Amino acid sequence: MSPVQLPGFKWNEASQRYIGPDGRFVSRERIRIALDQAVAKKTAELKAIANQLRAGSISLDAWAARTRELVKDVNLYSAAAARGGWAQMTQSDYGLVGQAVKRQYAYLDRFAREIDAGLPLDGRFLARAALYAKSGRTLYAETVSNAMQTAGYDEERNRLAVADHCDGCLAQSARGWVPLGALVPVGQRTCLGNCECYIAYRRSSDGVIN
Amino acid sequence: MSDAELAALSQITPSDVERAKAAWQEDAPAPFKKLLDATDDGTGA
Repeated sequence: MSPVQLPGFKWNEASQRYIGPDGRFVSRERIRIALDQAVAKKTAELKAIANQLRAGSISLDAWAARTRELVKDVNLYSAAAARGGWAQMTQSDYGLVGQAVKRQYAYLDRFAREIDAGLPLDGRFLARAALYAKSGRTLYAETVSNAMQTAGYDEERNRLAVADHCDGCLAQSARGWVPLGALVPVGQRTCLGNCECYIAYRRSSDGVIN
Repeated sequence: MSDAELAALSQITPSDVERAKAAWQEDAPAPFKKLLDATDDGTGA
């Protein structure tokens, strides 16, 4: 007897949303929460290898190499989460991931040079090392925004999540609906990769909000 | 695809993608481990 094939997730391109195994749309907020939980695991991994460097059990080169891998992993799966899964990723999407990874590698190279020059491996070092995983959240937001634009949405509005908010996020929320691309992107505000905000999208032609 | 995207594409290899797929399986919360295996629902854009 062959095993029963359980229904999986589907992707609806028109609405840019997932359909769950129960046949219902999954909210973008729920996807972001799942991604945040995954990113939190990568953050913990980054802290663990940073602690290994601090303890002297791995070399600076080994730390940098492993951090690069983790940064690439988290950026790849964050983009895939935004685009509807691996099967929906295009060459252009992979190109955007490559650009994001390249940026992070440049920051990481500078960080490694500072460590090599004697930067103290203290609590600030640990916090900075762990922050690289959060680049995935920034890319997720950027990829969703690009996809929504392609899907015909032309306005956006910042929505505050239940969290502490930086002044930058409060200011973006106060602007209300603005043309898509006018908000300071998630990840580029005072709170950087810690941003918990959501973006709502609206199609001005028919008022549909997504 | 822009020139910058094209140039950056070389950063990502098929083995990177395979490793990222495995990483998602490890990192994602249980109800979402199959999320990124989603297929298009066929209703079009």
